[in-house]
Amino acid sequence: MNGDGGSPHPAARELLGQFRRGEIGRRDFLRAASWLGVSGASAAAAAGLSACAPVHAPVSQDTVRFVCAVQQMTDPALTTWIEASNLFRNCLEFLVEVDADNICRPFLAQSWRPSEDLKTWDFELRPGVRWSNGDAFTTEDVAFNINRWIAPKSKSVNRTAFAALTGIEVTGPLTFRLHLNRPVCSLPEQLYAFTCPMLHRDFERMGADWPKTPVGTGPFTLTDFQVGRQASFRRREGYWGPPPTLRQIDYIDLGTDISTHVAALAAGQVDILYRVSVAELDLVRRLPQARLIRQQAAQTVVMRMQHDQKPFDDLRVRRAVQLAADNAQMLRLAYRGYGVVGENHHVAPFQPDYAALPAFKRDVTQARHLLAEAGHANGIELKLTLGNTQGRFEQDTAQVLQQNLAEAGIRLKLNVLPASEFWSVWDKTPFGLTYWSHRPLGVMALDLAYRSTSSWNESHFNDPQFDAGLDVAMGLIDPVVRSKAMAGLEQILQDQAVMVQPYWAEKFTAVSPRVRNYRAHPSDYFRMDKVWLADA
Amino acid sequence: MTPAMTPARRLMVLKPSAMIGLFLVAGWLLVAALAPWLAPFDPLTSLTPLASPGTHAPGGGIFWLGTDLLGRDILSRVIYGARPVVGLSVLATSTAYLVGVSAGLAAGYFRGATDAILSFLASVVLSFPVLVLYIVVIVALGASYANVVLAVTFGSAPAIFRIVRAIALDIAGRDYVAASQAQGERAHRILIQDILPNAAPPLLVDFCLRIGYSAITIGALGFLGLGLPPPTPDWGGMVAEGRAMALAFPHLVIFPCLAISSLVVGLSLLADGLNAEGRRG
Repeated sequence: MNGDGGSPHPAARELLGQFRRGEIGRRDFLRAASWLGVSGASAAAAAGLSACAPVHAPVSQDTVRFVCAVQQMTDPALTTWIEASNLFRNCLEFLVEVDADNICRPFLAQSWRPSEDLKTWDFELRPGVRWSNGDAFTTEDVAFNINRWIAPKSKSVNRTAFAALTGIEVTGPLTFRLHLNRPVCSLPEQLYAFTCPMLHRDFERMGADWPKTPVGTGPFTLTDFQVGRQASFRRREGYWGPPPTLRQIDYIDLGTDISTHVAALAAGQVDILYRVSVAELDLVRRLPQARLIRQQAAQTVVMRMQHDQKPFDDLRVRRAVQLAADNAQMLRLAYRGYGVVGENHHVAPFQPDYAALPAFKRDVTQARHLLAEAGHANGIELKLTLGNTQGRFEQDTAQVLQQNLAEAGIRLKLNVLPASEFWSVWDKTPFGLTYWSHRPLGVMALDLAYRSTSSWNESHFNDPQFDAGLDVAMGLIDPVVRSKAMAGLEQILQDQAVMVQPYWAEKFTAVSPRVRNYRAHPSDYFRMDKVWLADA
Repeated sequence: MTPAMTPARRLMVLKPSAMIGLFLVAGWLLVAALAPWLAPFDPLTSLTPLASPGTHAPGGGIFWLGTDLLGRDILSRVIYGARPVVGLSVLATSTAYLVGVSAGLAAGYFRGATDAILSFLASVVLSFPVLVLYIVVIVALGASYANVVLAVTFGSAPAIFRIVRAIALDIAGRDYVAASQAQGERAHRILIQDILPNAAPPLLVDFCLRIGYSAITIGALGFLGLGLPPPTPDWGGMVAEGRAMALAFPHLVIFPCLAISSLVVGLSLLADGLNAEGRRG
């Protein structure tokens, strides 16, 4: 069961046993196997599963027109917008891939194997990969990128994301080892973050301006790049993998108004939209020229309370807010039911490290009782700050919460800021609504948002027991054991009433009915190399 | 027109278009005043999401104009929405007038340094696009009733100042003003007793028009998400909330748009009629 012919990780055998006994599902099995460096095909074969059937896509002369912001970019490792990454993802590739099913798969690295303590990870690169300038892709390129990310002067968010990474050791032309100062089971997933594309080792010598020198290992080459207007990519001859199905992709910047994008799709001017929001769903459904695509994702809004700010320094107040909130109603009204109800702990039921807790029940009477105990027998006035950074549904959610809390005597004022203004206060406001994008694993979000030392700890949550539990969970591969550790973490977050986390929101997009094999991705990390257009 | 005609009598002889304007404005004033008795449902309570106009409500009654995304009755929200729009536009225009008229009279009468300083300040404010000015004020101070009034006052007062200053400059040179000065009247008495009443007719027309502009401004601020904080029913905010879904659910935006339009058209027609009446008189 080892993809590279070496001995399997000691946990691999136990994993297979758990799958055969029905203790874990297919997805959990494939995911955990991939952590252990076992290829998807080997894992599927060992478990008696049929591996994903390869898509027999025709190589065509088609051009797909994709609505996407074409933003200024120079250094992909410093990119702050996922839209920009969707452009360079056609040319630049990653060591691993987290696919649309949220499963981590080999990419430029064909295998990896962690040590038992998850502090040392051995990677092996795929042989035969060449850059578009003809150079071979080697560990020299990997070392260049990783050393750049973790350099003390690095301005990339990767420096924080890979804080546990102490260094890279090149062990051969195609093999390298990563050293960590603590176990991080999500290391492979982190390598598919949009800021982690592999750049050519001479990137800085070439001017550190990627659109000007668009060297990559990917299936397309950049042929046109006009900020705010259009970018074009052409099929690259001599690509190391299967040839891409499309001849060309044109990214067209139509501004930020999604209604305009839908109108362009309806008029046949474009083929794929970047996204549509819940507000456009009914319109898209009525258009014969549009096909709606839905995608489950661990994206959510979190209404978190800062533990060191009055009145939220009183657990009874936080708990009253949580008990009075009707998460199901927020999902039904503000997001029209397209998602899964949240459980106020920021781990999604469809994330592989989720552990089910007893159902969280709304209890307005208890909320009133707690408020009275806390000295607010006549109710309390609170202010929630939000910025509609992802759309109007944030404000709609807050308005439903406002109605919910009123039943318990909590008078909630909404402080709606322009999105740009909100980002300057998002982690400062005592009670704020923040959008959190999809993360493949629950621990990744918990580590970013609730660890006491994290710079994104917007709730100022500070619990040594939680931090220690997080370290344990991040060092576990066994899904059953990890599930128990995660249950403890989820319970702490729920009991400490850190947040109201009402729902997990689905993602939506729309494409022309001609588009084939296009999949939405929970992180909006789209791959275009196997997409094609059917005949009109 | 005879000098003996009362204001009420003047209104009665307005031309038909002005009467329509008066009817619309008075209608919205009544709706705003009687909102709690006219609205069939609580405008903040979620009932049935996205119900079409004419749908029966679950607990009895009819959603005559349908409901919004959160299930709130649109008719009730339009009725309650008249309160902030009508109230704030009148209040904001009045405060803008208070500032603009005071400064304009002072500049036109005293001239010299007073005029130079006030005119300079007005020019500075007027050099900004008005909507940008509103947005800057609201973003800096936050969205609230008081700040919407402040923003509209800040944005409108310089334009009013210019009109009043021009009129005051003209009237200040008239014989009856010179006579009052010769009698030793104090400046503020001359401004209030001699100049202001004679500047009133054109200002009354401008006041009516400006209330309409204020209503549009408040709607625009609401549309941009800078108006009254949610869940206050706000016509502009209702249009913004429903805009993305307007092609599938047109009732979300049609009715608040009609409300804004009818109020603004009413005020314009009324101002037009008063202007014509002023010229006749």
